[in-house]
Amino acid sequence: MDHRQEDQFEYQLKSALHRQEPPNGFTVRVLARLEPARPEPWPQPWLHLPSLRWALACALGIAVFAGGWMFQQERRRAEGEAARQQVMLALRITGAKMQLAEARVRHLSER
Amino acid sequence: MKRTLLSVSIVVAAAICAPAQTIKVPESWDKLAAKADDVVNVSLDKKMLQFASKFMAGEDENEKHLVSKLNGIYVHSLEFKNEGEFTESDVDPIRTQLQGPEWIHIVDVHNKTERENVVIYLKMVNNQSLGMAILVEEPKELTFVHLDGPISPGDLSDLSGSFGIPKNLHVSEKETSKPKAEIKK
Repeated sequence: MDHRQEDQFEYQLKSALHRQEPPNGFTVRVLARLEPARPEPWPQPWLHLPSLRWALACALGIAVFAGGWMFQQERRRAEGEAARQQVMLALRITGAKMQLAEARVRHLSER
Repeated sequence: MKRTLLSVSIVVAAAICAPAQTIKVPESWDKLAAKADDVVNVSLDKKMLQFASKFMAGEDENEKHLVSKLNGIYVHSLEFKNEGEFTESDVDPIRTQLQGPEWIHIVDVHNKTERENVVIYLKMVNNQSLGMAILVEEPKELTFVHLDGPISPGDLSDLSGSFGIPKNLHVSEKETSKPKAEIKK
């Protein structure tokens, strides 16, 4: 290769490697074409299954109903027990006063 | 006309809904209760007694039977720290109510030494006992018990030995037609 040829080659190389500004909007277009990075999908939790959700709601409903019923029963039992205690107290007082009457009658009759 | 009918209905409804307790404890007892050391007020109507009898599983059958057939149990008991906290005027209104023809006293004990008055009344209607009342005045204690409902002397015999009711208490129906005991000392 002679000197002239070298110059020509260098000129071609320079013009080929000459810095060129990208056209307007190039960056935006490139970024737009890039696919947005999607997050790795979570494994489908069992709770998201509709049937299971319904089953869970039903179980919760039954539990609430049963709890309410048991609370009512317990309250009724407590009220009944309180009433029973009142009856016992009343009958004990009645008995004590009858015993007093009997003792007085007996005591006075014996004299 | 409509207004009259409504008024009559209200009166009838009020009479039906009125508490079965026929003997009223005077209002002065409320004031006495404020002074008392120990106050017992038991007021159980038929509905409550039937409810309570369902919870008397461990109790004697006679007791359950008696409780379930009564219309009401009313007990008012006041216990004071000192003597002379109440007067006859506190008790007289009750005595007055028990002076009706249907009330007969089967026990009437007045003990001046002990300063005690014990009176037991039976309510007799058509030769049937429909209630019992006990009025006891002690120096530091005032008690009124009203068992409303068909309580026969036989029931008392069945209960004798329970709740402090004297054992071998036997009162015949015939004996209840006249005062059982009236001793005044």
